[in-house]
Amino acid sequence: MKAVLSRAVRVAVLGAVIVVCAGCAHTPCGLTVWAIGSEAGALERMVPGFEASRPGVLVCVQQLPWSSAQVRLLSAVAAGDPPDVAQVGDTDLATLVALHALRPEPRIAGDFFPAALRVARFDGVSYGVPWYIDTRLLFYLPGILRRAGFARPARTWSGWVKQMRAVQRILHRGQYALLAPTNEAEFLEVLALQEPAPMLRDGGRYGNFASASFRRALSFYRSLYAQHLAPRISNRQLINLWWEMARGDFVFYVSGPWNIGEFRHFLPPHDQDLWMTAPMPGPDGPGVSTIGGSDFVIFRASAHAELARQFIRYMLADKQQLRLYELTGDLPARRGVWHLPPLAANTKLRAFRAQLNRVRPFIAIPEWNEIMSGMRRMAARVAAGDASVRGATRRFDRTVDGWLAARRELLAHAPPSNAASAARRTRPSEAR
Amino acid sequence: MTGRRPSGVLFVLPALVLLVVFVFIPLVGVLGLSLTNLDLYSLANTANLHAIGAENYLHLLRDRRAWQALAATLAVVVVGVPATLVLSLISALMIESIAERWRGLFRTALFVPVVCSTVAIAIGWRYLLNTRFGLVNHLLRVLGLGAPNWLGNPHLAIIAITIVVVWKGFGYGMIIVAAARREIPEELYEAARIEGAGVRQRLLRITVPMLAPTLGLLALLDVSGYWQLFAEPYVLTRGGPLGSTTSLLLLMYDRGFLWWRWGAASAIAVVLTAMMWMFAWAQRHARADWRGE
Amino acid sequence: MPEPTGVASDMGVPTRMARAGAYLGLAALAAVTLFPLLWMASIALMSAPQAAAGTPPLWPQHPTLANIINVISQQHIGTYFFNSLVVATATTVLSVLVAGSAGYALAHVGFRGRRVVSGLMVFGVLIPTQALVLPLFEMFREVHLVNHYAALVLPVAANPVGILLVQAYMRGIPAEILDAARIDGASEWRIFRSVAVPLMAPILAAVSVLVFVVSWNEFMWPMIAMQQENMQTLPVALAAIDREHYQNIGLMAAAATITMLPMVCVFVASQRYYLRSVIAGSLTG
Repeated sequence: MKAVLSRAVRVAVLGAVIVVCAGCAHTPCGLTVWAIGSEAGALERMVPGFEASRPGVLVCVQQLPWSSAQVRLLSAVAAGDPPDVAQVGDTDLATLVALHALRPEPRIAGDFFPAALRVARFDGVSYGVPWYIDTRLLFYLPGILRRAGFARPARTWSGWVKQMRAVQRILHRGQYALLAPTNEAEFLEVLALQEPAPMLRDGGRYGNFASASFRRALSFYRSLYAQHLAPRISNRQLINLWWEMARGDFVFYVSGPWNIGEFRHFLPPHDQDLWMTAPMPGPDGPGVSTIGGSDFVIFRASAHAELARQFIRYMLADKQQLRLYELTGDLPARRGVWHLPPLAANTKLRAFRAQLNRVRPFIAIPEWNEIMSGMRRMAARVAAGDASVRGATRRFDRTVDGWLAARRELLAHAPPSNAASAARRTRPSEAR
Repeated sequence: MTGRRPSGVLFVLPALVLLVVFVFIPLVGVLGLSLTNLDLYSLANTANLHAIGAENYLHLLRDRRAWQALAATLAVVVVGVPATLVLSLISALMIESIAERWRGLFRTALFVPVVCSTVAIAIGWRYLLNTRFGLVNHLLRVLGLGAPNWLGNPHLAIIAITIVVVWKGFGYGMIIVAAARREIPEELYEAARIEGAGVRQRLLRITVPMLAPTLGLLALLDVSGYWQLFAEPYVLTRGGPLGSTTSLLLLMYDRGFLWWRWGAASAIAVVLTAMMWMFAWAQRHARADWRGE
Repeated sequence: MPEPTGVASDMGVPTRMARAGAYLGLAALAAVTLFPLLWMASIALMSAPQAAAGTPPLWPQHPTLANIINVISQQHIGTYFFNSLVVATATTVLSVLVAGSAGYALAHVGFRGRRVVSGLMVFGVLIPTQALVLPLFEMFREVHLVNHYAALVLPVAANPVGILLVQAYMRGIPAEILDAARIDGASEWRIFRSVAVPLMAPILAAVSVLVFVVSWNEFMWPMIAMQQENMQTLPVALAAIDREHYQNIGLMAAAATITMLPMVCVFVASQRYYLRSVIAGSLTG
């Protein structure tokens, strides 16, 4: 017993020492930057260059995972302990703006894609600087498509479905023409964007999912599962998407530019010809797509705003934009960079450049992520045959109206200049 | 017993202060929050914060997701707790009936999942249960039993979660039941054998009744643990498919920390707490009844 | 505690068949409990193509530390490990001190309100603490302790189960031993330190193992309270890595194994104390 006790005391003292030391071992960061996923890794490798140009400045980069970045940023703001600079996904900007967490940025001069700038603007005030941008389009396997008798992906929904049916016929059991994971909302979002009516109406006050437009998109979405062109699986059930796709398990997949890098990483060089990219098909012609990406923001609570601005400017220079592309495959937000060799030479990027000229911004309100998450659940229910398109969309409108109640109340009382009231009009960025 | 001395209070004071500050005050706090509209807008500007009475609770009554979460959580409790108890009982009786020197080994083997991180375990099971590549389906296919979509089918997913929960939890009960089994006097069995009682009769007339208080307590512990189901669905399915594995706690987490509806999330927390107390109350009464017989 | 003489006596006659059945059943159960854990460890040692090739095989063909090295070098697992160690150690030390003194006093020191305090402890066991994270987060935010170790240690430092365990254990120790010291004129503090604590050592050891393991595996509250990546504990970081790299099975298996292995070792090494606390916990009910 004595031995146990003295050991326990020793452990206790050791523990106390560890705790105390950990408390005092904080290193002073000149600038704290939160970045997400692989971008954080890339940023970490670009930071030394910035630090070298400013002796004595230590930049601390912290990595957040994509799926919890929003929670972490918001709770940091709620806790009054945000970083100086953060990479923020476009869809999360509105929430941070509503919380008055961000420092309004003077308009950054630069040859950014106009759609990317619009996404960061609320009531005419810019809150973020576009870092990289993305859009969703088709990844596909040209070899199998050719075997099914088609030279390139169709431009229209009906043509696309015809191709998928033909492809499905020559596939083995357990292989599918399309991968549309039931837990990814973006595919349906892109389909819905093709239609004229927006998903919310009255300046983002009410849901508009029961509209003929959305119902058409949802019916098309459902038909893909109903015809067994796509399996009803979530992306968590994939073991290795790129390897599975190269094997022919899926022929089409609607996804974003990061997959260019992932395909390059996971497949050997001689398999790189197996896959290709193409712009989204639309209901009756070339389709539009979402505009996404990440912005750099500076938090109001930051005491190092000037240094933060210098940091952002450094990261947006040609050299760093190219470096980011090389490290992550992220597409530079500045158009000029696209004319430089590594991007201009990449054939897989051509479809992206074309698609980026045909994008529609999403509806930037704080509730948007919750609405998209609800839409995903509703769509999964419809795809599973548990609910009709009409009934599900009606009920979902009621749910969304409930979520937007607080927002309507705020808009009724707040002056229109309130940043939280900003509802960006949803307009195609190109004439249709 | 000793005399009344003031210093006794000093000994319990740290525990008392910590409990009051970090358990009892939050308990009152969550009730208070559930009566407000605290959300993103009132977090940004407290002028938007109002008391709204029972509105959050009334919303819950009409909320499909809330009912679904209640049903999912109840399903895991109603199926999982008896399953855990039966496995605990069987494995404990088996452990007690083998040679002493092998007991330690099996005890360790069956108890190890209890000390493992739920997150780590859930990750492992997600690969095991993968529809196309999982080892479980590989085995089923070899046996010609088909390949169910464990985590993609709403009905199967909640079963899969229950399996993982029971797999991780039964070792705990096994240890406790085994200890209680050792307390049963052997004379009882001797007497029963002389009276000619068979295997089943001895099990049902002696072992189970003598272990009943222990099993009752285990049931309460398991209910309280499973009722707070969170990490398993969070990692295995993230609440899907079709929300079929969203537990009450996961729903509270999503509403509170994903969508910042703190008032609504707090109402879920209050309901969860109240229902757990109902279980505890019911269990106490069941135990009292048993003893009264 | 006398061992039952009639082995398998409640299952039937202690025949060889019954015994063999018990061995078989236990072996099957052990295979079911151990297999997923061992398989994870095995995948962690596989090369990338082997781990990703459909159903991973049971055994690594050419064992490699690549996944482990990858997890350590790319995923900052060392930091999380350190955080987990600090939090679990601090929680253990604090809760053993708190539970030791409170459990002792509840059993052997008379004071006004003792029954009320005792009742509060029992009530405390019945509170689903995970349901309280919203107000708890608000409290820590007010005092700016979010992202500090204190946020993970303080809320669980007073462990009602631990206190009840110590109380129950101490009740079994005759009061005469302590009264003798009181008659000698020793102060309460001295009696606690030099008489009670040595007597409590076994149960304190048991409680400390229990608390250490529980604290190490805690998930929901640490995920909420630690938003800064460099303050996260292993399970929280593991879930974060999973969301990002769930398609990289070798990496995930390595990270999961690193998270589990320390607790498996702690358990195997301290089984005697740990199982005792589990059993004692059931007897307080």
